[in-house]
Amino acid sequence: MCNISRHWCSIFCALQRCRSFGCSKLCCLGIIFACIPHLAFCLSAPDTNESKPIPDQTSKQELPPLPSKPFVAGFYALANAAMCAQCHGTLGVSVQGTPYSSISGQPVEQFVQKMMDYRAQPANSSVMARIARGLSDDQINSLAQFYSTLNSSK
Amino acid sequence: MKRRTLLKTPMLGATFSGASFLGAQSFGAAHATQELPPYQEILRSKNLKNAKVLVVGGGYAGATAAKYLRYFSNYSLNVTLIEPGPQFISCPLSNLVLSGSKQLADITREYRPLAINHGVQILRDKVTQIDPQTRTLQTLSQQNLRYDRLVLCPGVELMMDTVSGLKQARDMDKIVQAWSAPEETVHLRRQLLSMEDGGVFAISVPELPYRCPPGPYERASQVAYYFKHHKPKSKVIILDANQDVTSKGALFKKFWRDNYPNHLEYRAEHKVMEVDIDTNTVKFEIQDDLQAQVLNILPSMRAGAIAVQTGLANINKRWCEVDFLNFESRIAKYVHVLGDSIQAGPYMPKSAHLANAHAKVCAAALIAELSDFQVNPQPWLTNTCFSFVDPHQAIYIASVHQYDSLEKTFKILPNAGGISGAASEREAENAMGWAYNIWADSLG
Repeated sequence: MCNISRHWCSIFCALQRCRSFGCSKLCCLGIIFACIPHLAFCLSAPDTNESKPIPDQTSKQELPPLPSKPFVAGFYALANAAMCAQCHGTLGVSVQGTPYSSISGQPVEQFVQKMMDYRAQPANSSVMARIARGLSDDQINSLAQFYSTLNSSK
Repeated sequence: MKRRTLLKTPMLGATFSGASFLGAQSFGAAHATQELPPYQEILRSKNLKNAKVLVVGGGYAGATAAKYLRYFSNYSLNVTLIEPGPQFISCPLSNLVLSGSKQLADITREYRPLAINHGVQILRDKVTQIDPQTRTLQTLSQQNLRYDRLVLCPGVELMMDTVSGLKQARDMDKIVQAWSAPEETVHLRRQLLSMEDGGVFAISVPELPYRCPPGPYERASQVAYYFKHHKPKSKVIILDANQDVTSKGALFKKFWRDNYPNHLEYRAEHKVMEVDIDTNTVKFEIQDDLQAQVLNILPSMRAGAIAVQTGLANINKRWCEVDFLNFESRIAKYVHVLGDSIQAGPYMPKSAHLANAHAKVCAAALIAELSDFQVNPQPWLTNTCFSFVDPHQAIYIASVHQYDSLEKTFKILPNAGGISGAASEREAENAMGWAYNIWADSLG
């Protein structure tokens, strides 16, 4: 898929990063000019993705496009991680005195291991046994990465 | 990496002169929220600062949306929550007020922390009209409030006209629903307390979908417990318009059999058509009339009145269809509908937990759109719902809902949704813990 707004976003982000490295304005201009041929191609190429929701088995199966920048993936991780907060508190800091553990600051390995343990338990044994079954390995890893970076305050 | 301070002086009172804002002056007090990781580099703070978001309705969806719109935008988005009520009163746990094991104060929370901790502007007012064309709305005290994005969380409206005589009974305070206004629970409790022993409490369940599927069965359980211990000759009768118990059926029915054999009777496929308040009689589509001393007739429900009035309830004229990636209405651009008002995906109940989850997906999507980057293509939601079967034991249903990009809806993976084992005290503790955490997450 050729998404113009996403290209603009990547240019914007590249400029941001460039500036944080202390580059000159000339360098930023270079980035913009380097993108012009690609954008021109995108504008001229028809967007065929919408009309083909189910990929043809014989043709090359493309993976969905990655977010334009790790920061975008990080923003998604932030939003997804908020799905734990109804029970484990905003940013994984649980209200004191409740039976829910604070998951903020938990090491990655510990987080993943706990989720795998929940998956192995009978499905009706706990809320988490259900939740762990509903998340992919990638999603669990992403949550583990996210919460491990936060400061534990409990 | 460049770090900005999170606390910024909010722009207050500039737009709504004379409106009553809560707690806004004290904004700037220390709060415990952690600093955002460096995602702020992708946030178009200029776009976000110039955009105005109005959130209508301060329930679980609206309060959460207001908080997370502020937080996810690194506190740059201008967010106003419009809610007529002075305080937040939780519907979850309100059945414990009915049985007397909790007080109304136990399930009441302040809106103030949203203003103090997160800089949400709170306007205590009622929205009377929305015009999606001009992106303006009217309230009782304000004219033509402009918005760039509207987040509409009006809950449900009880369709009183679907049961003949119900509206008059409600107006005379003879029958209260205590379903969208938890403070009415106190009134219902008074009716139960003053009922003579030997009486019947009849509660009706409308056809799905309605707010909080297990709620009527939890309420019936609480009243049965009260009768068993205080009015042993009395009885609860559940009049269910559905073919069977609509949520946690096996668990409820086992508990009723074991604990309330003489105090609770379940009747399936009993659709209430009429109430006669002179004789306290319920009339059905098919079966014989039933007389009861205390009636709790729950009629069919639809999206909150303001959503219906604005023409957003396009599904059976009852529920609002939304794009599940950003919860934008399929009818009106720049209007996002959350919580119980939406036409939900399969096995997505109208619950507080999901309303909170909708709000976070919507908040992140709205900020991505305003910052010109792609909306999260793969959101997922969690749901957990506890029901108390007596004052000390609870059961639950829990699920994960993954977005399916082909069918454009949320779906539950195999075994990723279902009910608990038998009722237990441990789950009652978890239920209380859930309440404290979701209140803090939605309002703190």
